[in-house]
Amino acid sequence: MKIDVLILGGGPGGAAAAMFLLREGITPVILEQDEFPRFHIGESLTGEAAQVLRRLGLEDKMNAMENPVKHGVRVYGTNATTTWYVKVSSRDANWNLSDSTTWQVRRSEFDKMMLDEAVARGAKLMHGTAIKALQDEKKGLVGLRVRWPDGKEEDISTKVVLDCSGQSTFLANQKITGPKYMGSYDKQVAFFTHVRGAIRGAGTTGVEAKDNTLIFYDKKFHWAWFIPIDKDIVSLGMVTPRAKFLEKKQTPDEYFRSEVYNINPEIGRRVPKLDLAEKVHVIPNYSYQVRGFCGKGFICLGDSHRFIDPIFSFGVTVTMREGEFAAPVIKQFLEGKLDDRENPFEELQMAFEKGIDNLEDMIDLFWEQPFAFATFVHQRYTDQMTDAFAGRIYESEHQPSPSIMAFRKLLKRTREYDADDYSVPIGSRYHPERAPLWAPDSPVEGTEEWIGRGRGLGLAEA
Amino acid sequence: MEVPQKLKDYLNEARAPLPPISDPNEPLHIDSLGLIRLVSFLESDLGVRVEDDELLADNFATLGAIQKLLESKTPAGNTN
Repeated sequence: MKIDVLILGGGPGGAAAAMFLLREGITPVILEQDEFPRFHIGESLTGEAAQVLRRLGLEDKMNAMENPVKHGVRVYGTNATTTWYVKVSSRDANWNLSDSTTWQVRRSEFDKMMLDEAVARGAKLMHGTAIKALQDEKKGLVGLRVRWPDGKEEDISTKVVLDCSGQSTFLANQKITGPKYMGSYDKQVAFFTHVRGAIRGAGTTGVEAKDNTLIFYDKKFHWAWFIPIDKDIVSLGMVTPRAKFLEKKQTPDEYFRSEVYNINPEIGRRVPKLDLAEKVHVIPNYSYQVRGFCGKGFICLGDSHRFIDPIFSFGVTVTMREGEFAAPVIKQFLEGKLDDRENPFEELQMAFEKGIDNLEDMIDLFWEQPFAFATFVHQRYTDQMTDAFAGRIYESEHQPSPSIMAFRKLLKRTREYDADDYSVPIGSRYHPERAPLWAPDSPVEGTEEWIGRGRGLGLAEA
Repeated sequence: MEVPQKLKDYLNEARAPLPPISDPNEPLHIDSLGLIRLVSFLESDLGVRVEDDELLADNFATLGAIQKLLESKTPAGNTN
Protein backbone atom coordinates (compact mmCIF):
# COMPACT_ATOMS: atom_id res chain seq x y z
CA MET A 1 0.00 0.00 0.00
CA LYS A 2 1.41 3.41 -0.90
CA ILE A 3 -0.01 6.68 0.28
CA ASP A 4 0.92 10.35 0.64
CA VAL A 5 -0.10 11.19 4.20
CA LEU A 6 -0.75 8.69 6.96
CA ILE A 7 -2.43 10.19 10.01
CA LEU A 8 -1.72 8.18 13.11
CA GLY A 9 -4.74 8.59 15.39
CA GLY A 10 -8.32 9.57 14.63
CA GLY A 11 -8.95 11.94 17.55
CA PRO A 12 -9.91 15.57 16.89
CA GLY A 13 -6.30 16.43 15.96
CA GLY A 14 -6.12 13.72 13.32
CA ALA A 15 -9.64 14.36 12.04
CA ALA A 16 -9.14 18.14 11.79
CA ALA A 17 -5.77 17.67 10.05
CA ALA A 18 -7.46 15.29 7.59
CA MET A 19 -10.13 17.88 6.77
CA PHE A 20 -7.55 20.63 6.23
CA LEU A 21 -5.49 18.31 4.01
CA LEU A 22 -8.58 17.47 1.96
CA ARG A 23 -9.01 21.19 1.37
CA GLU A 24 -5.51 21.23 -0.09
CA GLY A 25 -6.48 18.43 -2.45
CA ILE A 26 -4.65 15.74 -0.48
CA THR A 27 -6.46 12.54 0.47
CA PRO A 28 -5.03 11.23 3.74
CA VAL A 29 -5.38 7.83 5.37
CA ILE A 30 -6.28 7.81 9.07
CA LEU A 31 -5.11 4.88 11.18
CA GLU A 32 -7.13 4.42 14.37
CA GLN A 33 -7.03 1.49 16.74
CA ASP A 34 -10.23 2.14 18.69
CA GLU A 35 -13.84 1.90 17.61
CA PHE A 36 -15.55 5.27 18.15
CA PRO A 37 -17.32 6.42 20.23
CA ARG A 38 -14.90 5.91 23.10
CA PHE A 39 -14.42 7.81 26.37
CA HIS A 40 -11.90 10.65 26.38
CA ILE A 41 -11.07 13.51 28.71
CA GLY A 42 -10.65 17.16 27.67
CA GLU A 43 -14.19 18.47 27.33
CA SER A 44 -13.84 22.23 27.12
CA LEU A 45 -12.92 24.08 23.94
CA THR A 46 -11.35 27.54 23.75
CA GLY A 47 -12.44 30.45 21.56
CA GLU A 48 -9.96 29.59 18.83
CA ALA A 49 -10.98 25.91 18.82
CA ALA A 50 -14.46 27.17 17.96
CA GLN A 51 -12.99 29.35 15.20
CA VAL A 52 -11.26 26.32 13.71
CA LEU A 53 -14.56 24.41 13.74
CA ARG A 54 -16.28 27.39 12.10
CA ARG A 55 -13.59 27.50 9.41
CA LEU A 56 -14.22 23.80 8.83
CA GLY A 57 -17.91 24.57 8.33
CA LEU A 58 -18.96 22.66 11.43
CA GLU A 59 -20.78 25.38 13.40
CA ASP A 60 -24.28 24.18 12.45
CA LYS A 61 -23.35 20.63 13.27
CA MET A 62 -21.96 21.65 16.68
CA ASN A 63 -25.18 23.51 17.45
CA ALA A 64 -27.37 20.66 16.18
CA MET A 65 -25.58 18.33 18.61
CA GLU A 66 -26.76 20.68 21.36
CA ASN A 67 -23.29 21.09 22.75
CA PRO A 68 -23.40 23.51 25.71
CA VAL A 69 -22.34 27.04 24.74
CA LYS A 70 -19.44 28.44 26.74
CA HIS A 71 -19.15 32.21 27.16
CA GLY A 72 -16.17 32.24 29.44
CA VAL A 73 -14.21 30.76 32.30
CA ARG A 74 -14.81 31.74 35.90
CA VAL A 75 -12.04 31.07 38.38
CA TYR A 76 -12.85 30.85 42.09
CA GLY A 77 -9.88 31.74 44.29
CA THR A 78 -8.91 30.02 47.53
CA ASN A 79 -11.95 29.70 49.84
CA ALA A 80 -14.08 31.26 47.06
CA THR A 81 -13.58 34.73 48.57
CA THR A 82 -12.68 36.13 45.16
CA THR A 83 -13.45 35.19 41.60
CA TRP A 84 -12.26 36.38 38.25
CA TYR A 85 -13.71 35.84 34.82
CA VAL A 86 -12.23 35.61 31.36
CA LYS A 87 -14.67 35.81 28.49
CA VAL A 88 -14.36 33.89 25.25
CA SER A 89 -13.30 36.35 22.58
CA SER A 90 -12.36 36.46 18.94
CA ARG A 91 -10.41 38.86 16.73
CA ASP A 92 -11.40 40.01 13.26
CA ALA A 93 -9.04 40.52 10.34
CA ASN A 94 -8.14 43.98 11.68
CA TRP A 95 -7.43 42.49 15.09
CA ASN A 96 -10.49 44.10 16.69
CA LEU A 97 -11.56 42.17 19.76
CA SER A 98 -15.14 41.05 20.26
CA ASP A 99 -17.03 38.72 22.55
CA SER A 100 -17.53 35.25 21.18
CA THR A 101 -18.61 31.79 22.28
CA THR A 102 -17.33 28.28 22.05
CA TRP A 103 -18.62 24.87 23.08
CA GLN A 104 -18.25 22.27 25.78
CA VAL A 105 -18.32 18.76 24.38
CA ARG A 106 -18.85 15.19 25.39
CA ARG A 107 -15.67 13.90 23.84
CA SER A 108 -16.99 10.49 22.85
CA GLU A 109 -19.61 12.21 20.64
CA PHE A 110 -17.48 15.14 19.49
CA ASP A 111 -14.57 12.93 18.48
CA LYS A 112 -16.88 10.59 16.60
CA MET A 113 -18.52 13.50 14.77
CA MET A 114 -15.10 14.82 13.74
CA LEU A 115 -13.87 11.46 12.50
CA ASP A 116 -17.13 10.68 10.67
CA GLU A 117 -16.96 14.10 9.05
CA ALA A 118 -13.37 13.59 7.90
CA VAL A 119 -14.38 10.27 6.34
CA ALA A 120 -17.52 11.76 4.77
CA ARG A 121 -15.31 14.41 3.15
CA GLY A 122 -13.02 11.80 1.63
CA ALA A 123 -10.40 10.67 4.16
CA LYS A 124 -9.80 6.93 4.28
CA LEU A 125 -10.12 5.31 7.69
CA MET A 126 -8.32 2.08 8.57
CA HIS A 127 -8.57 0.23 11.85
CA GLY A 128 -5.24 -1.02 13.10
CA THR A 129 -2.37 -0.38 15.50
CA ALA A 130 0.98 1.13 14.56
CA ILE A 131 3.72 -1.07 15.99
CA LYS A 132 6.91 0.14 14.37
CA ALA A 133 8.25 3.18 12.56
CA LEU A 134 10.03 2.35 9.31
CA GLN A 135 13.12 4.37 8.54
CA ASP A 136 15.38 4.91 5.57
CA GLU A 137 18.81 6.42 6.04
CA LYS A 138 18.33 9.02 3.33
CA LYS A 139 14.61 9.57 3.25
CA GLY A 140 13.94 9.55 7.01
CA LEU A 141 10.64 8.11 8.11
CA VAL A 142 9.12 6.18 5.21
CA GLY A 143 6.21 4.33 6.76
CA LEU A 144 4.71 2.39 9.62
CA ARG A 145 4.32 -1.28 10.38
CA VAL A 146 0.69 -1.87 11.26
CA ARG A 147 -1.06 -4.73 13.00
CA TRP A 148 -4.58 -5.28 11.71
CA PRO A 149 -7.42 -6.48 13.97
CA ASP A 150 -6.98 -10.04 12.60
CA GLY A 151 -3.41 -10.07 13.92
CA LYS A 152 -1.72 -9.80 10.53
CA GLU A 153 1.04 -7.24 10.12
CA GLU A 154 1.71 -5.03 7.13
CA ASP A 155 4.23 -2.35 6.21
CA ILE A 156 2.62 0.80 4.90
CA SER A 157 4.72 3.27 2.94
CA THR A 158 3.89 6.94 3.09
CA LYS A 159 5.55 10.25 2.27
CA VAL A 160 4.48 11.89 5.53
CA VAL A 161 3.33 10.54 8.88
CA LEU A 162 1.26 12.93 10.97
CA ASP A 163 1.59 11.71 14.53
CA CYS A 164 -1.73 12.43 16.23
CA SER A 165 -1.32 9.63 18.76
CA GLY A 166 -1.80 11.96 21.72
CA GLN A 167 -0.15 11.09 24.99
CA SER A 168 1.00 7.76 23.55
CA THR A 169 3.69 9.84 21.77
CA PHE A 170 4.25 7.07 19.25
CA LEU A 171 7.08 8.59 17.20
CA ALA A 172 8.89 9.85 20.31
CA ASN A 173 8.73 6.37 21.85
CA GLN A 174 10.06 4.96 18.59
CA LYS A 175 12.94 7.49 18.88
CA ILE A 176 12.18 8.94 15.48
CA THR A 177 12.02 12.38 17.08
CA GLY A 178 14.58 14.01 19.32
CA PRO A 179 14.53 13.22 23.04
CA LYS A 180 11.42 13.37 25.18
CA TYR A 181 11.96 15.46 28.30
CA MET A 182 10.07 15.58 31.53
CA GLY A 183 8.00 18.76 31.89
CA SER A 184 7.27 20.86 34.96
CA TYR A 185 4.07 19.17 36.08
CA ASP A 186 4.83 15.52 36.30
CA LYS A 187 3.73 14.57 39.79
CA GLN A 188 0.03 15.32 39.78
CA VAL A 189 -2.99 13.14 39.27
CA ALA A 190 -6.40 14.03 37.87
CA PHE A 191 -9.56 12.33 39.15
CA PHE A 192 -12.73 12.98 37.23
CA THR A 193 -16.26 11.85 36.68
CA HIS A 194 -19.61 13.03 35.32
CA VAL A 195 -22.26 14.21 37.80
CA ARG A 196 -26.00 14.84 37.61
CA GLY A 197 -27.86 17.65 39.33
CA ALA A 198 -25.01 20.20 39.49
CA ILE A 199 -26.02 23.86 39.85
CA ARG A 200 -24.89 25.98 36.92
CA GLY A 201 -24.98 29.74 36.40
CA ALA A 202 -28.45 31.28 36.18
CA GLY A 203 -27.85 33.51 33.15
CA THR A 204 -27.65 33.14 29.39
CA THR A 205 -24.55 35.26 28.67
CA GLY A 206 -21.48 36.61 30.43
CA VAL A 207 -20.14 35.55 33.79
CA GLU A 208 -23.40 33.89 34.87
CA ALA A 209 -23.96 31.96 31.61
CA LYS A 210 -25.18 28.51 32.54
CA ASP A 211 -22.69 26.47 30.57
CA ASN A 212 -19.44 28.28 31.45
CA THR A 213 -16.37 26.48 32.70
CA LEU A 214 -15.71 26.94 36.40
CA ILE A 215 -12.27 26.45 37.87
CA PHE A 216 -11.83 26.08 41.60
CA TYR A 217 -8.44 26.96 42.96
CA ASP A 218 -7.21 25.84 46.35
CA LYS A 219 -3.46 26.21 46.40
CA LYS A 220 -0.53 25.34 44.20
CA PHE A 221 -1.25 22.10 42.31
CA HIS A 222 -4.64 21.61 44.00
CA TRP A 223 -7.62 22.56 41.84
CA ALA A 224 -10.86 21.30 40.33
CA TRP A 225 -12.92 21.83 37.17
CA PHE A 226 -16.66 22.02 36.45
CA ILE A 227 -17.58 21.67 32.77
CA PRO A 228 -21.21 21.21 31.64
CA ILE A 229 -21.19 18.68 28.80
CA ASP A 230 -24.91 18.35 28.09
CA LYS A 231 -28.16 19.53 29.59
CA ASP A 232 -28.00 17.06 32.50
CA ILE A 233 -24.37 16.21 33.02
CA VAL A 234 -21.41 18.19 34.33
CA SER A 235 -17.83 16.93 34.13
CA LEU A 236 -16.29 17.33 37.57
CA GLY A 237 -12.58 16.77 38.02
CA MET A 238 -9.98 17.33 40.68
CA VAL A 239 -6.20 17.53 40.43
CA THR A 240 -3.90 16.95 43.42
CA PRO A 241 -0.30 15.90 43.93
CA ARG A 242 0.18 12.19 43.47
CA ALA A 243 1.97 11.90 46.82
CA LYS A 244 -1.15 13.06 48.64
CA PHE A 245 -3.24 10.37 46.95
CA LEU A 246 -0.69 7.64 47.72
CA GLU A 247 -0.53 8.75 51.36
CA LYS A 248 -4.27 8.27 51.87
CA LYS A 249 -4.23 4.65 50.66
CA GLN A 250 -7.76 5.01 49.25
CA THR A 251 -9.31 3.89 45.98
CA PRO A 252 -9.67 6.69 43.41
CA ASP A 253 -13.42 6.69 44.07
CA GLU A 254 -12.94 7.04 47.85
CA TYR A 255 -10.24 9.66 47.43
CA PHE A 256 -12.31 11.72 45.01
CA ARG A 257 -15.37 11.65 47.28
CA SER A 258 -13.42 12.57 50.40
CA GLU A 259 -11.23 15.30 48.88
CA VAL A 260 -13.17 17.11 46.18
CA TYR A 261 -15.17 19.26 48.58
CA ASN A 262 -11.99 20.31 50.39
CA ILE A 263 -10.67 22.02 47.27
CA ASN A 264 -13.04 24.96 47.48
CA PRO A 265 -16.31 25.71 49.33
CA GLU A 266 -17.95 26.73 46.05
CA ILE A 267 -17.92 23.07 44.96
CA GLY A 268 -20.34 22.24 47.77
CA ARG A 269 -22.72 24.93 46.57
CA ARG A 270 -22.43 23.83 42.94
CA VAL A 271 -22.56 20.09 43.50
CA PRO A 272 -24.73 19.52 46.58
CA LYS A 273 -24.66 15.77 46.04
CA LEU A 274 -22.26 13.48 44.18
CA ASP A 275 -24.70 11.72 41.88
CA LEU A 276 -22.28 10.00 39.52
CA ALA A 277 -23.17 9.15 35.92
CA GLU A 278 -19.70 7.75 35.18
CA LYS A 279 -17.10 5.95 37.23
CA VAL A 280 -14.26 7.96 38.75
CA HIS A 281 -11.46 7.95 36.20
CA VAL A 282 -7.89 8.63 37.12
CA ILE A 283 -4.98 9.79 34.95
CA PRO A 284 -1.55 11.07 35.85
CA ASN A 285 -0.83 14.63 34.74
CA TYR A 286 2.35 13.64 33.16
CA SER A 287 3.89 16.65 31.46
CA TYR A 288 6.57 16.29 28.86
CA GLN A 289 8.12 17.87 25.81
CA VAL A 290 9.56 16.22 22.74
CA ARG A 291 12.42 17.85 20.87
CA GLY A 292 12.86 17.50 17.13
CA PHE A 293 9.20 16.63 16.63
CA CYS A 294 9.18 17.48 12.94
CA GLY A 295 11.62 16.00 10.48
CA LYS A 296 12.06 14.13 7.25
CA GLY A 297 8.77 12.41 6.67
CA PHE A 298 7.00 13.28 9.89
CA ILE A 299 5.22 15.94 11.92
CA CYS A 300 3.96 15.44 15.48
CA LEU A 301 0.82 17.35 16.42
CA GLY A 302 -0.69 18.25 19.78
CA ASP A 303 -0.12 15.96 22.73
CA SER A 304 2.12 13.71 20.67
CA HIS A 305 4.91 16.26 21.17
CA ARG A 306 3.97 18.24 24.25
CA PHE A 307 1.66 18.23 27.21
CA ILE A 308 1.91 20.87 29.92
CA ASP A 309 -1.04 21.06 32.29
CA PRO A 310 -4.76 20.69 31.60
CA ILE A 311 -5.89 23.69 33.62
CA PHE A 312 -6.91 26.04 30.80
CA SER A 313 -8.25 23.45 28.32
CA PHE A 314 -5.80 24.06 25.49
CA GLY A 315 -5.43 20.47 24.27
CA VAL A 316 -7.95 20.25 21.44
CA THR A 317 -7.22 23.84 20.40
CA VAL A 318 -3.51 23.33 19.97
CA THR A 319 -3.74 20.05 18.08
CA MET A 320 -6.40 21.33 15.66
CA ARG A 321 -4.56 24.59 15.05
CA GLU A 322 -1.30 22.78 14.41
CA GLY A 323 -3.10 20.58 11.88
CA GLU A 324 -4.43 23.67 10.13
CA PHE A 325 -0.95 25.22 9.95
CA ALA A 326 0.59 21.96 8.76
CA ALA A 327 -1.77 21.24 5.84
CA PRO A 328 -0.47 23.84 3.33
CA VAL A 329 3.15 23.04 4.24
CA ILE A 330 2.54 19.33 3.62
CA LYS A 331 1.14 20.28 0.24
CA GLN A 332 4.36 22.16 -0.62
CA PHE A 333 6.36 19.18 0.56
CA LEU A 334 4.41 16.74 -1.61
CA GLU A 335 4.94 19.07 -4.58
CA GLY A 336 8.69 18.77 -4.01
CA LYS A 337 9.13 22.41 -3.03
CA LEU A 338 10.91 21.60 0.24
CA ASP A 339 13.22 18.89 -1.11
CA ASP A 340 16.42 20.84 -0.52
CA ARG A 341 15.92 21.07 3.23
CA GLU A 342 17.46 18.90 5.90
CA ASN A 343 14.25 19.25 7.91
CA PRO A 344 11.45 20.19 5.54
CA PHE A 345 9.17 21.10 8.44
CA GLU A 346 11.60 23.14 10.51
CA GLU A 347 9.68 26.40 10.29
CA LEU A 348 6.50 24.65 11.30
CA GLN A 349 8.25 23.12 14.26
CA MET A 350 9.57 26.48 15.42
CA ALA A 351 6.17 28.14 15.04
CA PHE A 352 4.51 25.39 17.11
CA GLU A 353 7.26 25.51 19.70
CA LYS A 354 7.01 29.27 20.17
CA GLY A 355 3.23 29.12 20.42
CA ILE A 356 3.22 26.54 23.18
CA ASP A 357 6.11 28.25 24.95
CA ASN A 358 3.77 31.23 25.32
CA LEU A 359 1.20 28.94 26.90
CA GLU A 360 3.79 27.42 29.17
CA ASP A 361 4.77 30.88 30.42
CA MET A 362 1.12 31.62 31.13
CA ILE A 363 0.50 28.37 33.01
CA ASP A 364 3.73 28.64 34.98
CA LEU A 365 2.88 32.18 36.05
CA PHE A 366 -0.59 31.09 37.15
CA TRP A 367 0.96 28.51 39.48
CA GLU A 368 4.00 30.49 40.59
CA GLN A 369 2.51 33.98 41.02
CA PRO A 370 -1.29 33.82 41.20
CA PHE A 371 -1.55 37.38 42.53
CA ALA A 372 0.38 38.83 39.59
CA PHE A 373 -1.64 36.64 37.25
CA ALA A 374 -4.96 37.87 38.66
CA THR A 375 -3.76 41.50 38.46
CA PHE A 376 -2.92 41.03 34.80
CA VAL A 377 -6.35 39.53 34.12
CA HIS A 378 -8.25 42.20 36.08
CA GLN A 379 -6.30 45.31 35.29
CA ARG A 380 -3.14 45.42 33.33
CA TYR A 381 -3.45 43.20 30.29
CA THR A 382 -7.12 42.29 30.15
CA ASP A 383 -7.45 42.09 26.36
CA GLN A 384 -4.15 40.29 25.89
CA MET A 385 -5.13 37.79 28.55
CA THR A 386 -8.33 37.00 26.69
CA ASP A 387 -6.18 36.39 23.61
CA ALA A 388 -4.03 33.88 25.44
CA PHE A 389 -7.03 32.17 27.05
CA ALA A 390 -8.71 31.90 23.65
CA GLY A 391 -5.63 30.16 22.24
CA ARG A 392 -4.24 33.01 20.11
CA ILE A 393 -0.68 32.14 20.91
CA TYR A 394 1.24 32.26 17.64
CA GLU A 395 3.64 34.79 16.19
CA SER A 396 1.11 35.62 13.49
CA GLU A 397 -1.21 36.64 16.33
CA HIS A 398 1.01 39.34 17.83
CA GLN A 399 2.66 36.99 20.31
CA PRO A 400 4.55 37.15 22.52
CA SER A 401 2.46 40.12 23.66
CA PRO A 402 3.61 42.55 26.37
CA SER A 403 1.67 40.39 28.85
CA ILE A 404 3.65 37.28 27.91
CA MET A 405 6.86 39.30 28.17
CA ALA A 406 5.76 40.38 31.66
CA PHE A 407 5.18 36.72 32.60
CA ARG A 408 8.73 35.93 31.57
CA LYS A 409 10.11 38.81 33.59
CA LEU A 410 8.27 37.58 36.68
CA LEU A 411 9.40 34.03 36.05
CA LYS A 412 12.99 35.29 35.54
CA ARG A 413 12.99 33.49 32.22
CA THR A 414 14.13 34.27 28.73
CA ARG A 415 13.35 32.42 25.54
CA GLU A 416 16.41 32.44 23.36
CA TYR A 417 15.64 30.24 20.44
CA ASP A 418 19.17 30.21 19.12
CA ALA A 419 20.89 29.63 22.51
CA ASP A 420 23.05 26.54 23.00
CA ASP A 421 20.95 25.06 25.77
CA TYR A 422 17.67 25.77 24.07
CA SER A 423 17.28 22.11 23.25
CA VAL A 424 16.79 21.48 26.97
CA PRO A 425 13.25 22.65 27.68
CA ILE A 426 12.59 25.26 30.40
CA GLY A 427 10.84 22.68 32.58
CA SER A 428 13.87 20.42 32.40
CA ARG A 429 16.62 22.96 32.85
CA TYR A 430 16.45 22.61 36.61
CA HIS A 431 16.95 18.89 36.32
CA PRO A 432 20.30 18.09 37.93
CA GLU A 433 21.19 15.66 35.21
CA ARG A 434 19.30 17.34 32.41
CA ALA A 435 18.32 13.85 31.47
CA PRO A 436 15.92 13.18 28.69
CA LEU A 437 13.06 11.13 29.96
CA TRP A 438 12.68 7.93 28.01
CA ALA A 439 11.37 5.98 30.95
CA PRO A 440 9.08 7.05 33.79
CA ASP A 441 11.73 6.40 36.47
CA SER A 442 13.05 9.91 36.95
CA PRO A 443 15.92 10.16 39.46
CA VAL A 444 14.19 13.08 41.15
CA GLU A 445 11.12 12.92 43.40
CA GLY A 446 8.87 15.75 42.31
CA THR A 447 8.66 19.06 40.52
CA GLU A 448 9.04 21.23 43.57
CA GLU A 449 12.09 19.40 44.85
CA TRP A 450 13.37 19.51 41.33
CA ILE A 451 12.99 23.24 40.91
CA GLY A 452 14.22 23.81 44.47
CA ARG A 453 17.37 21.82 43.89
CA GLY A 454 17.96 23.46 40.54
CA ARG A 455 17.80 26.90 42.11
CA GLY A 456 20.13 25.79 44.83
CA LEU A 457 22.56 24.65 42.18
CA GLY A 458 22.36 28.00 40.48
CA LEU A 459 20.86 26.50 37.36
CA ALA A 460 17.98 28.98 37.17
CA GLU A 461 18.47 31.25 34.23
CA ALA A 462 19.40 34.86 34.76
CA MET B 1 10.07 57.08 52.90
CA GLU B 2 7.65 57.19 55.83
CA VAL B 3 4.52 55.16 55.39
CA PRO B 4 1.85 57.78 54.71
CA GLN B 5 -1.04 57.86 57.16
CA LYS B 6 -3.36 57.55 54.17
CA LEU B 7 -1.89 54.13 53.39
CA LYS B 8 -2.09 52.97 57.01
CA ASP B 9 -5.74 54.00 57.10
CA TYR B 10 -6.37 52.19 53.83
CA LEU B 11 -4.74 48.99 55.04
CA ASN B 12 -6.56 49.03 58.37
CA GLU B 13 -9.83 49.39 56.52
CA ALA B 14 -8.94 46.69 53.96
CA ARG B 15 -8.19 44.12 56.63
CA ALA B 16 -11.23 44.84 58.79
CA PRO B 17 -12.66 43.20 60.85
CA LEU B 18 -9.09 42.44 61.98
CA PRO B 19 -7.77 45.03 64.47
CA PRO B 20 -5.54 47.87 63.20
CA ILE B 21 -1.93 46.96 62.42
CA SER B 22 0.26 47.13 65.51
CA ASP B 23 3.42 45.42 64.24
CA PRO B 24 4.93 46.17 60.81
CA ASN B 25 5.80 42.48 60.44
CA GLU B 26 2.41 40.99 61.15
CA PRO B 27 0.69 39.44 58.14
CA LEU B 28 -1.92 41.78 56.67
CA HIS B 29 -4.32 38.97 55.70
CA ILE B 30 -5.68 40.82 52.70
CA ASP B 31 -7.09 38.47 50.04
CA SER B 32 -5.99 38.52 46.42
CA LEU B 33 -8.75 40.82 45.20
CA GLY B 34 -7.92 43.11 48.12
CA LEU B 35 -4.28 43.11 47.00
CA ILE B 36 -5.31 44.06 43.48
CA ARG B 37 -7.29 46.99 44.94
CA LEU B 38 -4.33 47.92 47.10
CA VAL B 39 -2.09 48.15 44.03
CA SER B 40 -4.67 50.43 42.38
CA PHE B 41 -4.74 52.56 45.50
CA LEU B 42 -0.95 52.87 45.59
CA GLU B 43 -0.91 53.92 41.95
CA SER B 44 -3.88 56.29 41.91
CA ASP B 45 -3.79 57.81 45.41
CA LEU B 46 -0.10 57.73 46.26
CA GLY B 47 1.31 58.12 42.75
CA VAL B 48 3.51 55.04 43.10
CA ARG B 49 4.05 52.95 40.00
CA VAL B 50 4.12 49.22 40.86
CA GLU B 51 6.03 47.44 38.11
CA ASP B 52 4.85 44.12 36.67
CA ASP B 53 7.71 42.24 38.26
CA GLU B 54 6.91 43.71 41.67
CA LEU B 55 3.48 42.07 41.69
CA LEU B 56 4.58 39.42 44.13
CA ALA B 57 2.31 38.60 47.07
CA ASP B 58 5.38 38.79 49.36
CA ASN B 59 5.82 42.48 48.54
CA PHE B 60 2.38 43.17 50.02
CA ALA B 61 2.27 40.64 52.83
CA THR B 62 3.09 43.05 55.68
CA LEU B 63 3.25 46.79 56.30
CA GLY B 64 7.04 46.41 56.56
CA ALA B 65 7.21 44.76 53.14
CA ILE B 66 5.15 47.51 51.56
CA GLN B 67 7.36 50.12 53.21
CA LYS B 68 10.43 48.42 51.80
CA LEU B 69 8.90 48.40 48.35
CA LEU B 70 8.09 52.11 48.59
CA GLU B 71 11.60 52.90 49.84
CA SER B 72 13.07 51.15 46.81
CA LYS B 73 11.35 53.63 44.56
CA THR B 74 12.26 57.13 43.59
CA PRO B 75 9.69 59.40 45.24
CA ALA B 76 6.92 59.94 42.74
CA GLY B 77 7.50 63.71 42.54
CA ASN B 78 11.08 63.26 41.33
CA THR B 79 10.44 60.95 38.38
CA ASN B 80 11.10 62.38 34.97
